[in-house]
Amino acid sequence: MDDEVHIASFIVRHREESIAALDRLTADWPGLEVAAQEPTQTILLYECGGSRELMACIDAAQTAAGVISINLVYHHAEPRGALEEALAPPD
Amino acid sequence: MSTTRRDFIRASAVGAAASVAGMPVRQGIAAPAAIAPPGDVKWSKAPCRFCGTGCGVSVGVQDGRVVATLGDPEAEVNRGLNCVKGYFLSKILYGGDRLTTPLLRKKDGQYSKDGDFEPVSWDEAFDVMTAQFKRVLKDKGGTGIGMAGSGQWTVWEGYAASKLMKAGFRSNHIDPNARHCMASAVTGFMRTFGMDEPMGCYDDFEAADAFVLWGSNMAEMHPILWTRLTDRRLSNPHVRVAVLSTFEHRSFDLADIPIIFKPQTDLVILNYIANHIIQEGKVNTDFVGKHVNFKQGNDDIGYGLRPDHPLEVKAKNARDPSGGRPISFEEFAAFVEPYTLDHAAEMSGVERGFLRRLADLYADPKTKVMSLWTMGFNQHTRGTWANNMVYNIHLLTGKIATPGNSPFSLTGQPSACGTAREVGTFSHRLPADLLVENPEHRKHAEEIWKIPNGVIVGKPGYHIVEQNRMLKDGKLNAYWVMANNNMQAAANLYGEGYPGYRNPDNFIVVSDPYPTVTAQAADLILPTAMWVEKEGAYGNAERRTQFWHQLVSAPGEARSDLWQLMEFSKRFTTDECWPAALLEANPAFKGKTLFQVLFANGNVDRFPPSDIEPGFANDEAQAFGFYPQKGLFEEYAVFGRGHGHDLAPFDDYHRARGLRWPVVNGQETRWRYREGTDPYVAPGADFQFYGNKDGRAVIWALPYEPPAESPDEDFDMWLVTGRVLEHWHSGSMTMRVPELYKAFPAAVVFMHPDDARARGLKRGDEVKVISRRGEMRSRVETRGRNRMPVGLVFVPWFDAGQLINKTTLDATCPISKQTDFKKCAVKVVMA
Repeated sequence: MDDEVHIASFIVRHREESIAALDRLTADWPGLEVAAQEPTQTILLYECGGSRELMACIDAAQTAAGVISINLVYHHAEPRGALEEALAPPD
Repeated sequence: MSTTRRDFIRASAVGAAASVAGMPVRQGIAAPAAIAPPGDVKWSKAPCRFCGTGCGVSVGVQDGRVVATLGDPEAEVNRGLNCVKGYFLSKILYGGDRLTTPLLRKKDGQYSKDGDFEPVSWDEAFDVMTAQFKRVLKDKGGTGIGMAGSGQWTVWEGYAASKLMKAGFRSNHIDPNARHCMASAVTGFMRTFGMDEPMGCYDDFEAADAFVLWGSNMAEMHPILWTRLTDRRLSNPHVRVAVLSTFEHRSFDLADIPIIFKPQTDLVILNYIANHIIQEGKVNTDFVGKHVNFKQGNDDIGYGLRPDHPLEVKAKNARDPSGGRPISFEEFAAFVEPYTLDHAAEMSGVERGFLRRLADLYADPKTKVMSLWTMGFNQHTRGTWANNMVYNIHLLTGKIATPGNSPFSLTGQPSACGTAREVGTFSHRLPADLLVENPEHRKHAEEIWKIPNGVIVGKPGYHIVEQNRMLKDGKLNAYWVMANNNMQAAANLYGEGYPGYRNPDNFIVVSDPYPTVTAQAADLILPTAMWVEKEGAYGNAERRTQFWHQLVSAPGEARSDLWQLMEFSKRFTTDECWPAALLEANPAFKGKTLFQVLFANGNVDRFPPSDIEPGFANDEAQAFGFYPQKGLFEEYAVFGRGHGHDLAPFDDYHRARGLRWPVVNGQETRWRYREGTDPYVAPGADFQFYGNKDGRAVIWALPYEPPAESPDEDFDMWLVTGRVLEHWHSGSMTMRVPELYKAFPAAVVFMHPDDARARGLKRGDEVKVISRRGEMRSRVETRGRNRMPVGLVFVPWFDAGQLINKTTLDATCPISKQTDFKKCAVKVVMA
């Protein structure tokens, strides 16, 4: 059976000085990246292999210094093979 | 270069988050509505099933199954956000052990108290249940029948249950699990304002200059409101946040004024702030002179334990805990004068500087303050007092009922306000704050319900803590539990909970979607439809009433609580439930079924199924031949219209994302009691606290008194119980969501590392938590989200495998009857 890929996005509210901590987190955490950033909020995009990793990532982000809240906004899972299919170009 | 589905979904993920956060969307990322093809998923609105915040969710249904829940961007409460529980909300419907058929304890083919559960039909389940209830009716009348309900009931389910119990069976022994949650908030409101529920609303989050969290861990318990508070603080550098608790938790991450106080000394801090305001000359004398009265409350009021408990016997005012006498402002000032900064610092263990900065937030007339609390105040043997005392400081300064000036009681259940409180499911109440003890109130309810005067009993019934005691004592013998898990939730499980359920004289029925701890202690389990498997309405903490349609069918033979209540009522006649003399005086009611007099009364059955919005199912309307939700709601709404509790017409709520009552002339009310924002305030009054006849709120002089139980040589640690972000209350739903279960699979004992070392323990060790009432096993946690002070442990109660309420004490606030789950004495030893 094809393994699943989970793709999720979070909104992180944080103090201005915690941007460095979030950068370290994304550097150390495979599949996690900053998608957009303002001084006190960051959108993280995450790709992983399952919901356990997803929840662990949320927990890790929550405990980064200066992070005040984190909200999961989008979460999608489907087989890896299906994800590599090319989309038809728009009409 | 071609675009793959991966690219598309990644763009959708970022686009959705950017849209919710109000952040610019990068080139190439479209808004989610444009990039997320709806397919054959049908999206509808509903409020979340969990806490009292009342977030709006978009519910996606495909092939008769809920496949997704997203934050509703049109919902004012959460503006497209969800907490992690809300995100996985749909999965609560599909736990592997969902109950789909009634289960009855049987032996040799017959009901038997000591039998094993066997599947039965609804007919057999109701046949046995009817026989048992009639046995008790014949023996004791309605006083032998009880019901434990919930702030998770929909509005009409709670209303129907209250009617069945109070008007049908003539029993006031109905009480919601909300008694454990916010009864102290209710009695606090009633004593100060003469009327229940907050005067402000969530709009205060964007207007306040300071936030004070009294014992509340909003970061985990109300995460969406925490996000709004966080946005306000981080976007406005002048804003300050004070967090008070008996241990350090995630909300402290945002605290400008972090305060860890010794248990129970919040009462001292509250009186210190009142004294500080007076000593610094910061009383708003104009406001106080026009809008406030002063009273001194009775002291030494006991701890809500059984009357023969030594603490009750020696309490001076255990029989009159609510009493008091009028006093002057000067007498109030003299009363709080001993609560100096030095005294507060000594009693609470808090640094003087933090206390002073906290008091100055309230005292500074230019700082708009929002005070927030939940269980820290409410689950407190002086919970009503704590509520009264926080109102004291808002009233002394006139910081109330205006944007940003807001003492705000948060709630834990989705309809603690809308159902448990407003509908009148408490043992002493009727709808819209009416009281069973008041003959005029009873008469008014009987008129609306179209039943004879004299049906409703004038004596308050057993509250939910007392119900367990009365089951144990054999005074309650037929008992129906709906939408709660009280065996796991109530204190002193072995002493006062389990014995009553297994008392051979008693017949216990539990309606639930899952085989909870409570269900497993019952004699009959009825499988229940939940959330969007039925049409529903909830009322959140800011007076917002929200509706949803039935979106899917319940599995198997599961039926809604509303169907169960109405269908069961067909099996009883007035002759079996009402006094003969009353029927002789009202012969038109003789021989009628309770269904006929309560639900086919010309009100409830007034609206045809054709009124249901096209495209939505309604299993109850199909079963009864009329639209019961609409009929029940419109009958209930009569209680409040014109009396400050005005609800809009039924159909309006299906169109709106909720409306905050009172809704007058189509307009909701955001701030009550203030001229210009509340239509009930008379022109020229400025403020009017119209719940009290003279329009004035009450400032109560109340002292510090010690808790019912404190650590000693034998049991040397404080125990605090509570919740965690991932699980909601007893975990009966969230523990069945794989993501949430994996994130926090088992309860632990949060403990200071020094306390662990002193007992020869280390992180992960298995331990026993032991009190005078019982013991449970768990594992030590010295790290993580909660940091304990020395001498105090915290254990969450969501875990059915670790029942911490075996150890807790069933002491309550004597006024509200709400249990104090935050203070008892335990010891922790190696298992």
